[in-house]
Amino acid sequence: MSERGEQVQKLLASLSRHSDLVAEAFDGSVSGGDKQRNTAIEALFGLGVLKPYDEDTYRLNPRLREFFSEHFASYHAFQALRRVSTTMQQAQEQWRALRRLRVSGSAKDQATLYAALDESIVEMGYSIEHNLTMLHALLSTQYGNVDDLTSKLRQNRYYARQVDQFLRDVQSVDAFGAQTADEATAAGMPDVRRLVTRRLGARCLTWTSQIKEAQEVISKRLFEAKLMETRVKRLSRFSLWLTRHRTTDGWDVPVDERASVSLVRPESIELRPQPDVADMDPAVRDNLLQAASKLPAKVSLAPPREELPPQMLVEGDSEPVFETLTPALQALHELKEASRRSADTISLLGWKHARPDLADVPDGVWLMYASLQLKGSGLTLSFALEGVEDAFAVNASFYDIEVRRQVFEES
Amino acid sequence: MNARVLKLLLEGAYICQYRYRDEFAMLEDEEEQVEVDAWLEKLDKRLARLGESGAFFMAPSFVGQRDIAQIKGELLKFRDEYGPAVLQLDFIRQTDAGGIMLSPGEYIPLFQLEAAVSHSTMLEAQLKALQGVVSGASQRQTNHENLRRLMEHLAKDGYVTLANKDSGVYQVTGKIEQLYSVLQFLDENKVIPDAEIDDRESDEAQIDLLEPGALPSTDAEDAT
Repeated sequence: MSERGEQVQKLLASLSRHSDLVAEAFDGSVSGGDKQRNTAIEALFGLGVLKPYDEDTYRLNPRLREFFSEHFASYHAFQALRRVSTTMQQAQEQWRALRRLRVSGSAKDQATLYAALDESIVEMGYSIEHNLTMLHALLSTQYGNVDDLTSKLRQNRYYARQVDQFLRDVQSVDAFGAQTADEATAAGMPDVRRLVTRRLGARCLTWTSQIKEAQEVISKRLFEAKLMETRVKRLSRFSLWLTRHRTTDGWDVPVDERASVSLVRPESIELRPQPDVADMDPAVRDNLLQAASKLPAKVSLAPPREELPPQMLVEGDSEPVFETLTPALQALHELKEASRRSADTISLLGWKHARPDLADVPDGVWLMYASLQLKGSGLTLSFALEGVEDAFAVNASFYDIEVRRQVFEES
Repeated sequence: MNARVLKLLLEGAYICQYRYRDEFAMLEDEEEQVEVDAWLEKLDKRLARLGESGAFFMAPSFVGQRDIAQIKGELLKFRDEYGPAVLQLDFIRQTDAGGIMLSPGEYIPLFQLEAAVSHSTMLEAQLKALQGVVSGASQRQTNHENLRRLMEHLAKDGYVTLANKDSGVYQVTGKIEQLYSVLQFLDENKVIPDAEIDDRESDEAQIDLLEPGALPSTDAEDAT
């Protein structure tokens, strides 16, 4: 490695060693502190990385800051675009000198001047690219280096002028490139022609279009809002706010009953028509059947089989339960048996009076109860009427009911 | 009373002459309005319009506590509720600032959006930045596809409708006025600080900036 290369390496190693301090200085001024910090500041000051700003206050070398800014696309407010006219004048002088040397001069000087011209032309291209990068960064972030919109507007105005000048510079560069290329052809220096054509001429068109595009954005982007209808302008403003305040979701705004109904977005009320299955109109019924036929077949799920426990016989000491017959029921059973055995009629009252256990049962109740039970058993009942039977009686009074088995039983 | 009109109203649609031409024409009839209103009244709702002659929609009979809570909730989540539409519509506006006013009934041809994006690296970068708010948009897709998805997203949300499928022309619907009324309400409540309001520049500055040819030759004012 050459001696210069080693120096560059050492310089970068020093920067790397004190990288924290360099980073701090990129954000603002740095001041002394403990011994270690003071030593670091002294070392960086010795290398020209830090420049004195005030008493015990240092700032980053502006050239180094520029390098970092460009790398991080971080530009301070109202940062001017680089002017290429100065470098272009320098290149023009170098080109004139080169032509003079071509006629009468040493080859070594020619080579040195050619390298200088090459450097100037590369520098011009680099400056233009730098300006475009910076413009793109500023415009795409809508001048994100300032928060206040008024400052943004002022920056926009400032860059509108800067870009106007920049475009003129690039057009001059284009003219310089074309003229130099012609002169190089005339002077028999094709390498210079190649240099300017390749480094400048071929790229001028792209640069010009990019600048014009930036110019258009600058002219319109924020200021178009002034010509827009109020509501579209409002839309634009809220869009800008959303872009710039990415961590905020919305606002807690007081709303009361007087708020416009247009703020209430209607919520969908789902409609689900239910067919009337009881409607027997043929059209309705057919449609219903048709709709039902399209339904997927019912998947019958077998009910889970219940696991029955093993059967077992449990022997208990509980007594078997026998039905206990009431006296009335007992008397009725016996009456049924008796009437079936005998062909004679049996008086219900007589049967009751013969049984002392039915003494508590009133005669009327017994007659009603027994007659209904016996009628259901298929026996024939007849009423013992009082007095002479009226041919057209509606209600006939009776005093007893007689029971006898039916005729077919007798036969 | 038309069943389709009622169904749309119950679905929460904004019935404008661009998206629902026939239904809008029916609702223009005053008798129909009275009938629909009476029908909606049973649901504690009423027929309302955006502005004097805007889209019809189903509004609450009166703004109650539930509605207030709904509005407040939506404004608290403005970025999610209205943010995508604001960003997407503002992007469309920027593609042709002079021409597109985003008014109901305005046509937006997809090919014009595509042409604007292809001619501007700024717009292209902006379109890419919108991927987070456009459903289905992706870095891998072409500008055309991303723009189509943007318009489809807006159409799904009801702000535009596909007027001509063959030529890919969309039309702004009446629903956009609802968004404007929300923004107006927010503006009246000054949710964006005054420092960020761009209405304070003098008219002189406007002329100065809008006409690059009229720019003064010196920039001494700003340079200082």
